[in-house]
Amino acid sequence: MTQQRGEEEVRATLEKVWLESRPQALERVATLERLAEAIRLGAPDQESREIALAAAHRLSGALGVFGFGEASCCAAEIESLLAGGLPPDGATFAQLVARLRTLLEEAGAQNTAQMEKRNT
Amino acid sequence: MKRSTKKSELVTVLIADDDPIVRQAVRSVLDASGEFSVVCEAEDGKLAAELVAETTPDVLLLDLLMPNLPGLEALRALTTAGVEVRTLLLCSAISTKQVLEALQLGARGVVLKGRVTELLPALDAVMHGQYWIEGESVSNVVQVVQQLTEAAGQQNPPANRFGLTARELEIISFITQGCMNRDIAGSLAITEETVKRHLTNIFNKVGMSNRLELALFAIEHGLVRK
Repeated sequence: MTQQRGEEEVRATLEKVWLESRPQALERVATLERLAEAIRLGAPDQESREIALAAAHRLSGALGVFGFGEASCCAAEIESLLAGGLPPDGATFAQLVARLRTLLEEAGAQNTAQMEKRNT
Repeated sequence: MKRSTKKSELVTVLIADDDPIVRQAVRSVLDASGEFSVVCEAEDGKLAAELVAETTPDVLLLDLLMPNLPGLEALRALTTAGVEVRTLLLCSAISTKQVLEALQLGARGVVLKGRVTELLPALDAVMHGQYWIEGESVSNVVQVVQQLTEAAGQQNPPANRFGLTARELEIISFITQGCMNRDIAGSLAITEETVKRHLTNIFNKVGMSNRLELALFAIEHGLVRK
């Protein structure tokens, strides 16, 4: 197997796994959105921050695996904001989470198009 | 933790990552290759170390940031316990310092999650006794470590904190360049037996047991000047 063919097969496998995993990834984004809302209302508790930190950390890794580099970086930025210990700046945090949601939706559409192309 | 039957004809792999999505993705890639069998999964570093000792996979794919025990500490625990496994770090990001530390702890390389298409060639390289660093198969890990050390700006002047003699430091310098005893003996106009005796003394002083460990140790501790 040539290296290029091997890479294509890996990408094809990952696309299938992504379709199965996407709902879980979006649920993690929803966790971040809930925290953004709690920050906006001025009532983020420590436990929510920790859950959101874990969600951002996992998103950063998983999105990288599936080849969504920009979304992975965005999640890493959110993770770094949350890892600081103090409540993040609400506006910045909300902007980043919204950006992540958009990137994931774009990634979903792009992924579906690629799979359709591959199957025709 | 998920287990499956070990297939002896395939290269056996243990995946240690706290994210089930990542584990599933990596497992799927390995299964689809037809060359690897995932014998076990671990969601934290402590479990990973225990399962490696129990299931003796050919390769451990190890994330860095995990609950209970971080990846490098799990690797340290395995090294300390004398458990032999080819370890590839599979992580989102890693500093040069962490790469150096991982290599010193016996890791065979690093694959970034954002470059997971390199996973199969990396595993292939590692199974053939090579290292996998920065997207390439590497045989001379000492040279790579030197480059990484320079890149990290860690090239300190030689600092002799281990009671090493000038001649011993000289010999260490040759070891980091990958020289054999015969070459060192020729360069220093001494016999190979004398080189071996110096090496035994050096190993005793710094607590290392082989040339690779010594070279990595020397570079990390600034015992040699480029």
